[in-house]
Amino acid sequence: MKKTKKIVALMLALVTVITASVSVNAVGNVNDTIVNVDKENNQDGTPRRSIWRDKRDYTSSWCENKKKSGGVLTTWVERTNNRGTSSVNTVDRYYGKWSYNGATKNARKIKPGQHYYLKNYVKEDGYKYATIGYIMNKEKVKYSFAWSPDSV
Amino acid sequence: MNKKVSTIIIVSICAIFIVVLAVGYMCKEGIIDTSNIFSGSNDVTEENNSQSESKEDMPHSAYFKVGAETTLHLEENVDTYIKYNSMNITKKIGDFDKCTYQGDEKTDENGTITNDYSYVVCNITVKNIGTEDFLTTVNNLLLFENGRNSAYDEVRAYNSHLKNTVRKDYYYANLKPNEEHNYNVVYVVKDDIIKKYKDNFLIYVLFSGPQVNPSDPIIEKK
Repeated sequence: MKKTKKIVALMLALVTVITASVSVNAVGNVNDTIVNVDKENNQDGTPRRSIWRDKRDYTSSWCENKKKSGGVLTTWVERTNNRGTSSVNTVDRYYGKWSYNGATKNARKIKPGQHYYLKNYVKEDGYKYATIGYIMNKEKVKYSFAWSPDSV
Repeated sequence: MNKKVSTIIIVSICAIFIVVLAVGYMCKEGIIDTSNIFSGSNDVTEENNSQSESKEDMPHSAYFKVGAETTLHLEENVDTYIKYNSMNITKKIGDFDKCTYQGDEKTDENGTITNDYSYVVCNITVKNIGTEDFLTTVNNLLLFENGRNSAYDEVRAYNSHLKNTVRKDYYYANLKPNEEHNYNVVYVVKDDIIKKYKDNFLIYVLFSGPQVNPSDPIIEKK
């Protein structure tokens, strides 16, 4: 009986701790930015990156390739402490390095209508800003995608 | 017997709860890939290849000085008139929401900044003078501190008057044809940066375009 009570108490405590640890994750920078690229600006299939935004917590970034996009979007996370940088050496280490074909590993292909949580080490590695690096896999079509540096 | 049964039920519920939380965490962190499990039909829309009237003279995106106005060609059938009306620097909340997250600034319970940062409030008019809706976000308006190649600040709030500023679509702006929107777009900038560079501040409008482009034009007040 006593043993049973101890087990129940332990389970309840565990549930409380897990719930608390999830909810303590204070508000990050979770609002979306939408990137719209007209077909005229989608001509060369080269890697791009969206705007630098504050990375406030240790959560994954998030990206949704909107349904109206004309093709698959290959994405990865980039990081910096200098929003004015023009360097390409800003790929988060989870995604390897920059190349003309995009990040060298773990880049995620997102089809129109799909979304994905993008793992990263931006905050862990001491960087303040994050963005989405991307390649529009299909040229000369319109793309629209939403992303946020943190997630809920 | 009853006590035993209820104990088993409690333990089972707790165990299920823990498993659900753990799976949810793993999905969120990408440990479990669910992107193809829950995806709907892959309805890729083919672009209409019909040629529209040439809009080569109109930029897609541009930098604006205070008082400047111009029309941007965002995409086929979507041209947008933009006017950067005014800039105001303040430490107090005005006609705009509290910031969506706590940054490096310190604020009191009213949202008044109490350390060496200030709100830079930029009033901007946006009107879709095209024939189709255009969905973008207000946080595509960036504040460049010292010219086109300098660092820039992202929007921290605006006059949405929405109760919930943490929602993912907080910054969404669905620009319908002939609708005019007036935004108070707010940035939080260090006071020493404001003192040094405020006369060089530029608003960069990136409603359409793959990334920030330092070659985009600077629109001056006429």
